[in-house]
Amino acid sequence: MEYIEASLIGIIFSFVIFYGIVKKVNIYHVFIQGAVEGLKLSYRVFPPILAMILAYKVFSDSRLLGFITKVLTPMFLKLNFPPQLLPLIIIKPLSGSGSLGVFTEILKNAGPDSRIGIMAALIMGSTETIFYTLTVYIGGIKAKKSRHAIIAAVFTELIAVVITLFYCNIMLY
Amino acid sequence: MINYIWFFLIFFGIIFGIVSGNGEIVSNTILDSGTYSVKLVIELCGILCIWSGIIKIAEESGLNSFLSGLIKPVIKRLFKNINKKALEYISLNLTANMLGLGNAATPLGIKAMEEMEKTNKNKEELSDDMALFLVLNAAAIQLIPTTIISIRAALGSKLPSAVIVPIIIISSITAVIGVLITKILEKFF
Repeated sequence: MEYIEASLIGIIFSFVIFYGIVKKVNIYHVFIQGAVEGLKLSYRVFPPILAMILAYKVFSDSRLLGFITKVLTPMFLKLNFPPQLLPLIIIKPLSGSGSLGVFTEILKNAGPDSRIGIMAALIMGSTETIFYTLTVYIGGIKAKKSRHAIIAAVFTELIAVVITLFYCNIMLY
Repeated sequence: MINYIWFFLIFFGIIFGIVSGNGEIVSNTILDSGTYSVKLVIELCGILCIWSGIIKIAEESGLNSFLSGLIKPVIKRLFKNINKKALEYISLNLTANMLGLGNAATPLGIKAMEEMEKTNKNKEELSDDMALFLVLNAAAIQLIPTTIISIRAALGSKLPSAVIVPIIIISSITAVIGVLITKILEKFF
């Protein structure tokens, strides 16, 4: 199982290019086109990542993060939930690229393979920038009363965090 | 909202730093974060290009329509009152999100909402189906979390792909619970 997981990127790659060539896609050319989009993406995400890394680094290097973490630790310890992840949970629903900055900082400080690093990745992957999505999707139609949509969506985000916590408590020590 | 958070992090960070005698560190941090971000984005750039290339092949080869065909029967059961076009757009939007095709997913989602509006009985408020669609988007099932893998790789993880399977498991469970909660909540609103 572990070996399959380690080979997963290779499996995905071979599957995609195989499917592409069967469907007679100009795979080499299309790959290059995609890579150009990747360059543009890096260019586009740089300013928000910079803005958020700046903010997060000031917040953590000034020891304010450490101070808040210390205050909150007893409460979070009961849940076995690292308080370091709190900034990520607050920012993720609001800004995709901003949360990338915070995510990177958490990974850099705790290590990508540490318990906190893994939890951050799982939260990052199982939540969505939901306020942005809600604004765009509801903004396009006439209906103005959103009923239970916002509560349910926000609740779903919280569920993702709770399940991540359960998962990590079971799977990682 | 993001304005206030950004302000809070920087302003109170600086004040706390200066008061607690870390003024010099804070000043250095402000300048260092520029260099650091550039280094990070350069490291990330190559990996992101590789993923974008492979995702583009998936997109061009119609992998999205293939996947959306697979989830259509499930979508049909979950939604109560949607026309054929809405079913098509909803499935395509969700699978585009699964593949990480953010740029393709947004226009599809907007079209899905417009189609659902046509069959919405009370035009003043969102229908149950619309709310359910938004919740499914919030659950965000992602088959290949490309940026997360890229960042893990750029920061020296031993096994950057180790999070793929857990993310699929967690977001699937989240989606199921999210749908259940929405189905319960819709009766009260």
